[in-house]
Amino acid sequence: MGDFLRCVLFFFASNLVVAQIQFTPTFLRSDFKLDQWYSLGGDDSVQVTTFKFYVSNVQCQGRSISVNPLDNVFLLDAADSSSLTIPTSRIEKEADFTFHLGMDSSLNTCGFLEGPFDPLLGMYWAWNTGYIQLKIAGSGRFGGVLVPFEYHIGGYQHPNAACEKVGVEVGNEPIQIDMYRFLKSLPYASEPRIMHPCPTAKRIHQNFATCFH
Amino acid sequence: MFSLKKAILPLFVVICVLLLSSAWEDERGLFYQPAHWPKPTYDFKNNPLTDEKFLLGKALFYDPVLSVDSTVSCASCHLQYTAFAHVDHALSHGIQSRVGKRNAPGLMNLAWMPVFHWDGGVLNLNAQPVNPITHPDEMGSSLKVVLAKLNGSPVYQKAFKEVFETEKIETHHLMKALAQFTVSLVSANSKYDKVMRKEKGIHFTEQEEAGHRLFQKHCNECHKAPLFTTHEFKANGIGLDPALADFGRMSITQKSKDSLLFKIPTLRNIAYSFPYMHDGRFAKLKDVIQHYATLSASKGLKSKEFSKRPIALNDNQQKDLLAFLKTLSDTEFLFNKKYSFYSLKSK
Repeated sequence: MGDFLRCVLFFFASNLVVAQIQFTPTFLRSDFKLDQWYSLGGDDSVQVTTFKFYVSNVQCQGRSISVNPLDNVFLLDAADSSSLTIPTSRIEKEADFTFHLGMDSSLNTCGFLEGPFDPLLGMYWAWNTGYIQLKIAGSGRFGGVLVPFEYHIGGYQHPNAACEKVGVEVGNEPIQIDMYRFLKSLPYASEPRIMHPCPTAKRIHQNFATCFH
Repeated sequence: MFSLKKAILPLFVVICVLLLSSAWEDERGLFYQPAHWPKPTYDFKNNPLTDEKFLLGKALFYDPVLSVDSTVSCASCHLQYTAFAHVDHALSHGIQSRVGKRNAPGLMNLAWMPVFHWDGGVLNLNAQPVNPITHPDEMGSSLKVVLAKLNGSPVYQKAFKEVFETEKIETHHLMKALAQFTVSLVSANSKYDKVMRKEKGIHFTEQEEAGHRLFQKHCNECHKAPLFTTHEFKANGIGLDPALADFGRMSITQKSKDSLLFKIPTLRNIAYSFPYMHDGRFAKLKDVIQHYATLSASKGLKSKEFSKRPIALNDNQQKDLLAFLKTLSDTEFLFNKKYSFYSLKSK
């Protein structure tokens, strides 16, 4: 009991907190919400109805937050705010994180069907074993024309692997996902639907990786 | 004229086979590693076999509950007596008589198979059932619907609770149970195997021996023993059916060099698993042999293998090869009660 009390006192005395990664999608300076229309400038606006993506291999201060790589995979879903926070068991004063946006080939093909790997979550590609790494869908109005869009971004094989390493120095602040930047970059006119690994899908995922701050 | 003698003899053979297969069940367990076979690729550590899980998987395999309207089971397209293939249909059909674009392959020795489906699009046996369950032309369902049905069934709730110690049936429970059954489908006791093992009194006939030599010369490179496949993707020379527009491996890799390449199927139990090829184009095994024996570059079909080294067989040689291929039939596997229909509901 004495040791426990000493730990608790040390914890409060040194401003240490349980490190966690919180992701906050933002549109310009506001919280981003599903089903809401956002202006991209001029006559262009978009509404996102689905926004889900995988994060894996999370490292805190250079160390993996889990011994087992299968336990270090997270599906973040804008429709479920609790999924946007990744807890860790690390206790730090401030924490810098790196993570993979998406999963590498070994995670894609591991055959583990539990938790974030459950095909029930709608991210599993049955026809070509692997996972959709980023799913975003909705509608856009461009010059008054309504354009539905749907991007299932995935693939783990060269040269179209959708897995990027992201490093963020956040201290204890949430990681902002700049949705304005990301939504501005999508190829609504040329390719409103992408459902398979391809160079454009890869580029979308790379652009997405630049939207974390 | 009806001959009693002729009718009794096949019946006697079937009874003997059934009795023998029962004996095998006890002797060999759920899964066994035949001598001199390579190491299985299936990860048994992730899904250790047990009798109870195997039986649950077998019950699910034979239960149409997995299809959206509860009319089609795995066994609808994978019948044991035909090496778990779908006979009599060039292209397999699912719910509401919907027809797919491929011929359901036989199921056996899946523990050694690194990739699944004709195009190799599926990499894990555990995950494979997701495809037929969710395909609109097969079972036409969704995991959500299937799991709701199973969780709403007192029989399955009880069974899953007993073997997986879970109150709620999840995807991985369902998939692992099905894999317990399918990974156990080992076929390694054909006449060919017995001859190779030098079992007493078992020999090839002269014709089978001649066929074996032809096989080793012309077929063994792709259909390599003991699995009778290298699991690679090759052109079979039948060309594209424009109505199906099935480009095989290319649909997975997106590479033009993989156009019209399909997974090399095993030839074990091939005499029972008609029709043949990915689109079930050939109804008879002799038609397949004739196709390869007469295939040449002049036909303009895309097949590097055969244009480089055509297989030229005369009529007698084709018959010899057919005789050898029939020695790959494993009747103990085909009639083994261990793999036969089973239902939890009748217990």
